Amino acid sequence: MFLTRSEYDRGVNTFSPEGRLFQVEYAIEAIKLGSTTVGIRTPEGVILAVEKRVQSPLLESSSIEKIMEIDSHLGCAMSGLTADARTMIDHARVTAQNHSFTYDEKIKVESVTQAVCDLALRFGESVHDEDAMMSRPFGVALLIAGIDELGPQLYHTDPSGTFVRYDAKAIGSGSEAAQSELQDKWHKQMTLKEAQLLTLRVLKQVMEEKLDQHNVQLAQVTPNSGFEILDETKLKEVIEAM
Amino acid sequence: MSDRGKSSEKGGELVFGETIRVPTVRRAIHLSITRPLSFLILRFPLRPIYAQQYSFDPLSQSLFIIASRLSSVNLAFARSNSMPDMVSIAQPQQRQFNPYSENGGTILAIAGADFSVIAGDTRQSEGYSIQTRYAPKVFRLTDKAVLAVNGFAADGNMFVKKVRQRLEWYRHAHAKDMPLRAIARLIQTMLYARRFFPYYVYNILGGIEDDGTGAVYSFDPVGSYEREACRAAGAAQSLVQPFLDNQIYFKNQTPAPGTSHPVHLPLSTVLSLVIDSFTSATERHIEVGDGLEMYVVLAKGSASVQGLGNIRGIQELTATDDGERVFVIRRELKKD
Amino acid sequence: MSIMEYNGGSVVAMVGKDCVAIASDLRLGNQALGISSNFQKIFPVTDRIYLGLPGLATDVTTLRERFRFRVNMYTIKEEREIEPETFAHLVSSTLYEHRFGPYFVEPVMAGLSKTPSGGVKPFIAATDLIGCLNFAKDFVVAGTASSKLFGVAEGLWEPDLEPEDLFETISQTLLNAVDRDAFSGWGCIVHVITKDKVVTRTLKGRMD
Repeated sequence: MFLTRSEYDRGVNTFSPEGRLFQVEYAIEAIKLGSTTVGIRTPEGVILAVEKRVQSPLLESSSIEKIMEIDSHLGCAMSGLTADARTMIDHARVTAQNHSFTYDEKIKVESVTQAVCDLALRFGESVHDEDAMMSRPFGVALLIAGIDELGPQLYHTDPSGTFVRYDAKAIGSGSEAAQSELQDKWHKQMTLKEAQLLTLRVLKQVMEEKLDQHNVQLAQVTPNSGFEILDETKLKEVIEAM
Repeated sequence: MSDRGKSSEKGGELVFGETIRVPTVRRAIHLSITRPLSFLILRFPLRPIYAQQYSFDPLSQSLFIIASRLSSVNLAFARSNSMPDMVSIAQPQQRQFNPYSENGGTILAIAGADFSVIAGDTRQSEGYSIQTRYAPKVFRLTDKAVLAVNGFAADGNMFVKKVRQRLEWYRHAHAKDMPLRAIARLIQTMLYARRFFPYYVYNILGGIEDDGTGAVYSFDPVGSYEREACRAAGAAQSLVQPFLDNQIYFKNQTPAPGTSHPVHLPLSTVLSLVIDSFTSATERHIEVGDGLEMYVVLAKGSASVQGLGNIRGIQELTATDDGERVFVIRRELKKD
Repeated sequence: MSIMEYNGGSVVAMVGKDCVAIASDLRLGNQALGISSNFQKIFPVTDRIYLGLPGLATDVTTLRERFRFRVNMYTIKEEREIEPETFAHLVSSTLYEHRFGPYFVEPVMAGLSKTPSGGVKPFIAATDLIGCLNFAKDFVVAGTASSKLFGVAEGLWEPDLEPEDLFETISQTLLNAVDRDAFSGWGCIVHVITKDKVVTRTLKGRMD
């Protein structure tokens, strides 16, 4: 289907005669080039794990940031064009802060996900003769993890602005293998510890390099501590337990 | 605390209590003073006209007109040439539209352990006239929240409308009813959004928190708020509040040795205190009377529901099953 | 600013069963600043009549002396003690003499008048600052906390209270009212007048 290029390839807001928006579809493809990212929901909390591709021995692996905090009860992992995620996470953070400012309560995971997805389809929009704020779809997918009154939740968003809730989800280059592994291993009463180990095992399977505390990042959202990224010492402990 | 309910006019500004200063609508004034000025310029083109200066002082936000020597010089000219007498129009004139009025009445709310009572009288007055004997000041927002508004009735009604609109939007966006503390915070942001042209209303929000406790939140017109066990506001606040201090908080009362005061009172006691408060206020305050509406919000599974059965004329307003329940009790107050 | 708020202070009087009570706060202020917490504004006129004078402190002192003079003159000339009703009219006419330059006080009186049968009848009265009399059957209030006093008294007072119950009622009324008034408070004093004695108690209250 991508072999035949057509004039509908270019416009971000023009449907093809078959009813497709090619640019959005291509953006979804771009995610498949990204590093593998895994999320698991358990009754005790949500785990997010990402692979950091350390392309050079001179690269400071700690400067690669693929898991970010949205609010104290919300975290987010990304895959694809990670620069695009900054815009989305900025928006998510502002939305979450605005919510707690106005309502004196933590925003729900679904609401913040919805807010991010509302932004995803704003490309090509312009007011009167002003230039459009965004020229193309986001080239990034997010795994949004959080805890609210409905318990621990994990959401997946893609460049089309679609969001779906998952028990466990993998995105990025190794997502196909990772997802089938998750499907095999995930179970309802998984503990947080088990989930930590499972995410790392899944990543280990799809990573080319040997997994260590420098080339993966692990984060969790728990009822007591909220969102936290595990530091290298803690990460090392988990890796050793694996 | 001193009485927060009164407003007074001073010059071109409205003064709330002791702290809040508000600008008034000024367009009308501007038109009326520019007209005589342009008239003078046309009629006496050769005379040196000392410009009238209009200065707007952003601090006091009132308009000053410095007429200088203009009026005396030109008026002398007008008389000596037997021109039409322009004394009446040559004077700078100030007109003011006052966007606020005060419609009397009193509201009151008391929180129990697992219930909340929110009450208000139904008289609406302006000055010494009664506009209506039935204008509700207490409104059911959800099954767990009731809002009482007192002060300027037009602002109050509009404010309730806007709060309800926001509650509906919230329901659509987040697929749940807004919790009480969220409504309280929302009301603060809505009131503070109008910091420089406030809704001239005192709000009291009563209902049930997510943890099932009875709660009362009270607000000033620009959104300062706190959670309390009881609060009175409006025309008879100064009459009712110290009575409540004594009867609800047991202020100035020492418990008998070996005993202690109850933290929360039973519903029947609270209802009697509310009725007593309003009959007392009706007795001594001309703006209070006609009717009394008491809303009762019960937490899910509250045992207080048993006591409600034999209350005369009680009416249930609950919209959803197996949640909090809302009732209203109406009573007559003296109409003189 | 009202002239009543210059020095602050409040007085309340109540009728009971064959007894009356009168109570006041003890604050003397200079607007928001507290000056004294022992400023008496209730004075005995006879053994059975007490007079409360909330208002401008200088006028309180002046009027106290004026009334002492006038009551003494009355006693000497009439060769009998003044009755509460008569005293109320004395207060009224004294104040009305200054109709267009009044003393800034709102007097409150409480006393027991003699009945022909030899018993006593409770009497309370209050006037405004130019002497318009108000003979209430239940309670009278005056001063900066008057609206609060009205509210609490209306809720707490009931007819035919015995002296001890009347004491409790007037004390609670005054304490809770002045606690909500910035210009009154700093201690309270209560006098309960019965046929054979006057019980005076100083109350412990909030000092803020």
